[in-house]
Amino acid sequence: MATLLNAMREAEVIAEYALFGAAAQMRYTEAVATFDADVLVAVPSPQRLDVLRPLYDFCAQRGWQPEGEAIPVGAWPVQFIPVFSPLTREALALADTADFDGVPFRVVRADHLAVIALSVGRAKDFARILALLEAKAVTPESVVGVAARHGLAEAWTQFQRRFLHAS
Amino acid sequence: MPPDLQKLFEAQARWQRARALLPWHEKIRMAELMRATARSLRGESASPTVESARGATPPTAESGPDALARTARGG
Repeated sequence: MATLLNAMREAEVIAEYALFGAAAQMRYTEAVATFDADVLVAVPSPQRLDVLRPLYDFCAQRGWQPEGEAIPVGAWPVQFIPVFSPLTREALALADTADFDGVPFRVVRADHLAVIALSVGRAKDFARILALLEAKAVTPESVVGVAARHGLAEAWTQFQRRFLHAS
Repeated sequence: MPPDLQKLFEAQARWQRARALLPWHEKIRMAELMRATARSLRGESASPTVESARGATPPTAESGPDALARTARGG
């Protein structure tokens, strides 16, 4: 997957990518159950209506055909998600380049993962934030700055009240 | 709670937290095993998406627990 994504970037099919979601979370926490890999992408022509078409074509040329919302790459259905907000744009821009078993692989930082989860707000997203806190991948102090920058200060306060027993 | 039981739970919690320190690719392999187990419990094939991808160009010949690691290398 990393090689495919790196090749996409070199071919300028995408401007940049970063893994996020559960597969990215596992860089920081213990393993969790997940069925797919979520990849944030920035595309060179975001104004296109079929913004993901060049990615799908690139994958199809290499034998990876879409199935539903994802493209199966090896053992992993990959879901490409164009950056959709200032928060995800920042997460993509500031992502780390990690070493995945010898392969460079861009991955969203833990503080951005936590704030993206906060912005989505499902039970499993809250569980992700708690897992990142427990693993000490993030601290309340490291999250609050990113949350405030993206209009999520109140959501973070509510999360703390609900789950961290903060006053 | 009996002290012995308390110690047992504390030791288990330490052991579980220590799993977070494993290398990322090891944890991805664990997730692949969990996924395969969940699918088998549901009566699905372990990795149907791999089979469909092979139909176009046989990218990998394996679907084992470390397939993502091999995929990451471009397999």
